Amino acid sequence: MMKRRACATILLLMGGWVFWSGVGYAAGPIVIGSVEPFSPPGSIAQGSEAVAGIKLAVEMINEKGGLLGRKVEVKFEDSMGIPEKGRAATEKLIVKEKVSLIVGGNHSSVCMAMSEVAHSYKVPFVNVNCWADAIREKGYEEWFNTSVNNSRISVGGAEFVKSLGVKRVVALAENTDFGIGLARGFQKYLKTIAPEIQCKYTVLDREAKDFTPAILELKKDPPDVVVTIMDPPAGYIIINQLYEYGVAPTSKTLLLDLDALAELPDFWDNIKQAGKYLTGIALFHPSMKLTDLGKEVRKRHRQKTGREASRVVFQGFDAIWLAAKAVEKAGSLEPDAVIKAMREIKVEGTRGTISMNLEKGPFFQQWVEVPYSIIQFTEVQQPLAKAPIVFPPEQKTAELVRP
Amino acid sequence: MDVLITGIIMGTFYALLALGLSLIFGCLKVVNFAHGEFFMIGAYVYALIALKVGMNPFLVLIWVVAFGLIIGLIVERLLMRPLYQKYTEWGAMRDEYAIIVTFGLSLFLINLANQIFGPYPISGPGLMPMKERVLLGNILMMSSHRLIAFCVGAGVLIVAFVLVRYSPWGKIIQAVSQNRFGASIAGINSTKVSSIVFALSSALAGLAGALLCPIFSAEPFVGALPAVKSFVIVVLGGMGSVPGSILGAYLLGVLEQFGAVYISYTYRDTFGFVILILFLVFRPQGLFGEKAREV
Repeated sequence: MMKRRACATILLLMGGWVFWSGVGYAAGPIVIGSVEPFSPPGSIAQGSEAVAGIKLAVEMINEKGGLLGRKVEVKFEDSMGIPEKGRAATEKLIVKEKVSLIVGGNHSSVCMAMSEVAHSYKVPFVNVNCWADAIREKGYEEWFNTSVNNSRISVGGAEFVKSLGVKRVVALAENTDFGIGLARGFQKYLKTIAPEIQCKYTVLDREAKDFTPAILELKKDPPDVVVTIMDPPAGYIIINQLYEYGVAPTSKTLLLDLDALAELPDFWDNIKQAGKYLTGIALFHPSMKLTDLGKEVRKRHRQKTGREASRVVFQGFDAIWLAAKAVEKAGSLEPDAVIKAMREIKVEGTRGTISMNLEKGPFFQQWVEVPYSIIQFTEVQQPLAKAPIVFPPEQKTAELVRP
Repeated sequence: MDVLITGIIMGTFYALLALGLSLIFGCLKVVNFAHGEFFMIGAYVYALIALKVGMNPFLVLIWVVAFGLIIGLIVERLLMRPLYQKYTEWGAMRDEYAIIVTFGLSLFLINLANQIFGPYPISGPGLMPMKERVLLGNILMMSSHRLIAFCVGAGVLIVAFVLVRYSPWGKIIQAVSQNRFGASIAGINSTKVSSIVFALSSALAGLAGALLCPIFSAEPFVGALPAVKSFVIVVLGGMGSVPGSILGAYLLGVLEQFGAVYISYTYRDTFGFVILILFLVFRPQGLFGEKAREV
């Protein structure tokens, strides 16, 4: 009898707890998922920057009363920069955490894997920082891109190289969807706009530490431009080693980074002398025009960290901002409604008005007009704000200089 | 010629790492999976002291070695000794315990570094300013740091080799490596020898990490690849053989460079494994190892 009574009490308590937590959930916060690399071999630096932007957006959304009258919370998961980990993390967020939508992504190979999960569960996903065209070319309606894509960078890099009037270019790309995709796109576009320029690319291991053999090959017959397409830390290591062996930058060979490394907060901690005369694509430059929202984000980020916001902070912010505005427009968290809203909406982001291109291909559901410039460091430890813009001509603040 | 020079330079750094691993295996009969993390600790200690304290990088190397010795002593005392102190015969020791302990230690140290030092790689200053480059006989340009780091590494390697091979202490280490039980009967304190060997190998790995820190940058995973290579080297040279591991390191360094330049860079890290497989098939005892069997 006693046993039966105890069992009944326990069941009653458990039922009450389930009921209570259910009620709490219904009235509780909107949970958005985010997958970023927080451990090696992923780019922890970029993951941390994206998180800073995402958190700022959530703070600003909640200050204005949240979303659909509910507070917004973000559950973060670690992808480690490894596709299978990213895939598992996305699945966990959807199945276990029951998130309504996801923002995030660093390393295209990880996004390739995560896009499959988002597609199969039909959960909207806004990509923060995966550049590979191949992700867009899948044509998944759940996948949206406020991040720049390889095609946009390829065009920017190739236009710049063409303007130099050079004869031979070698690209060194990491062995990922991002690296190989960008190198191929760059080569292809350069061939289209400047067929007289010889361009080849070499694929290097992202986890390697010593790139001497690849550099010695370049040393034999240095090209006019060496293009690096590698995430840190490998991106930093190869730039240092190119300088160390006297391959680039030199009076003959220009060094062009297409991975936007110059914007990362640890750039000068790792590059030092090799950074002088380096040219690089920048998706954010402090002299670049920002929207009012962008200025507010920049101010808050500076107050919180004492540092200038990098483009990944803005990208993280824009991704969740777009998602939030789409939920507002849809008036619900129902995936079809949110996806429809996201396809139609025009949102003022940090660096311009964001809207999605709906034409299939590398720009599918992509913010096309992501601003960029090519900058050049003319001093060691030069802050990005003081680095002159050398391309495109309409933004140019100084002429290109060589050692 | 430039390929050969860079191969020899890389071989020296590999040798520093592999020598310690070989000594540990010879003396403790343990495969230390955390060896790469001692390399990582050395890189961090070097970068942080040089950058935060502003100390002369050559003096920092002494601190790195001291730190490596202390860490090695602590790890041996807390984690390794309980594995073998109950056994008078190595054959009675359970190898799998050592594998689990060192593998766990490796994961622990990587995650600890990630928590303490944060997400960003840190590059330490060169022994000479990195902007200063030297031209070797009109063949190869490199940073003066790399050249000096090579000289320091080669010097340490020679001293370590001579000490282990010819000094009375080295002979004691050799005795314990050959027969721990026999050495104990002869009055050698094999536990103390094991401590010293572990500390020495940790210091050598740390020194290699410090010397390469300005080139590779310190980050939690920096020791993983060099450690894998040092495992290959130890097998190539013959498990526990000091001259074997040094020769194996140079062989791998040069082979990798030639293979990458003249065959394909893409397969650079596989050349070592191809050689390893060939050795395992045709000369499983390695270059200087001896055929042995246990009864």
